[in-house]
Amino acid sequence: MALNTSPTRSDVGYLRRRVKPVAHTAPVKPQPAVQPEPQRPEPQRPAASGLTLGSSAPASPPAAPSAPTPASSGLSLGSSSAAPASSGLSLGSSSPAAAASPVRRDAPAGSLPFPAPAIDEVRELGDESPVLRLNRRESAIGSLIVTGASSAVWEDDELVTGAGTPDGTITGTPVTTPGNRPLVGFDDSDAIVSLRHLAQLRRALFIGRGPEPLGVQIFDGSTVTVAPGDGERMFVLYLLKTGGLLELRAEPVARSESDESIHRRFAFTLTPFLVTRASRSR
Amino acid sequence: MIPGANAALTAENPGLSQIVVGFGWETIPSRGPQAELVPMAIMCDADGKSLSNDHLVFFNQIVSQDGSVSFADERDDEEIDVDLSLVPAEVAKIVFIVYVDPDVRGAGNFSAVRSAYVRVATRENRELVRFVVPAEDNRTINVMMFGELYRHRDDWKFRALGQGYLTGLRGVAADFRIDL
Repeated sequence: MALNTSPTRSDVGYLRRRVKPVAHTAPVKPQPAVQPEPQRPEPQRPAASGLTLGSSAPASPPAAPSAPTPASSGLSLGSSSAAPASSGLSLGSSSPAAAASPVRRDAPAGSLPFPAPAIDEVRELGDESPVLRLNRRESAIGSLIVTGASSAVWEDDELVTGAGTPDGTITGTPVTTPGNRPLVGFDDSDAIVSLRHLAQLRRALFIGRGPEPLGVQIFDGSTVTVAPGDGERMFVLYLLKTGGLLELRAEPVARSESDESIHRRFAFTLTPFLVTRASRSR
Repeated sequence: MIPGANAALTAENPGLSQIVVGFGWETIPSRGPQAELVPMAIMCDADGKSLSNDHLVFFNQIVSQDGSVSFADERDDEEIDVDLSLVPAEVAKIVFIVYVDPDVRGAGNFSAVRSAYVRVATRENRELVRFVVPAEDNRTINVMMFGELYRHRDDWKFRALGQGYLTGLRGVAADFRIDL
């Protein structure tokens, strides 16, 4: 088998190689079993490289100040403001000082996705520009309007999946937001995505088989169209949420392919819709 | 409090640093599309303009870059936490607006909203001030400034506002020089 000698892709964030912590080669001095100085500052700990559950710090007096906080490069759940260095998953407070300090959510630095153009930089999604990404405000305010769609399929954050057409036909399961609007649905001939409930959305796909090309409009009035394709293939619009940001992608499919086949190709499995009734007292 | 009134926060509460700005309201139930209210904090300079597009905090941009303002959703309908000690010196005030999400499918104003309030409390939920937004004819209002935190010499104060916008988030964007 040929070896892959291509250089590391630095433009693809989620493929970035994890940098392992440098192994400490200095000889390890024996530690006393009991800390003799209760007020002594907590020693600096080397970076942890794996899963950390609960308290990972060695037993130290509650009054001892915590060590300085180097950056963490992994997922951290729980108090992290005074957490020790970690390059892996960390659950819960990892030092007494962290447990006592107030919770402060830091901006998720280092989790930026790969570069993608903004909506103002792309006129048409297609072979030349297959993807764009909306910013946090564009992704969350008002409605995302898709014109020219003959069908839409959606999947929410609990994998509830359904599909709809402009005539109101819905297969699978509709997803309704607390504002009494469909998360993704048709309003007249336009498909509408309720961006107030972006957190509920996982992804959606829009297919356009009519004479009009697929088009997208957002709250600030910015628009983009989707290339119509050719006789053999067409582009569908794929909407994907990544970390609070919406990505719009033009994906080529065979023009002869049915909607159901396209749904399967993109792994949309429509969930059966069970109409429930209010419980009755007997 | 009444619109325009202010209250000293740090001067009256020495050592106060971490506060919670809570928002609440009631919406008249409807079978159709409902107004969905969204609080947003705008960190402004001395000219009253947002320092940048990143100096907004709302549900999809939940913490400012300096970590001083963060979005929470706990005791009230919505909450925004502010750590006054972390607010950068160039921030002269933090304006708290509540907008009706401009969904194209309607119900885009405050007409169905009742008993709206904003309150400031300590992290331990000791309420410092509360401003109940006056219930007036809000059929044309789609964004409302509930109040603002502002620097007064070395202290922080809170001012009740209760001023509505007829021009929606576009009006807010123009006034605060932000891209929305």
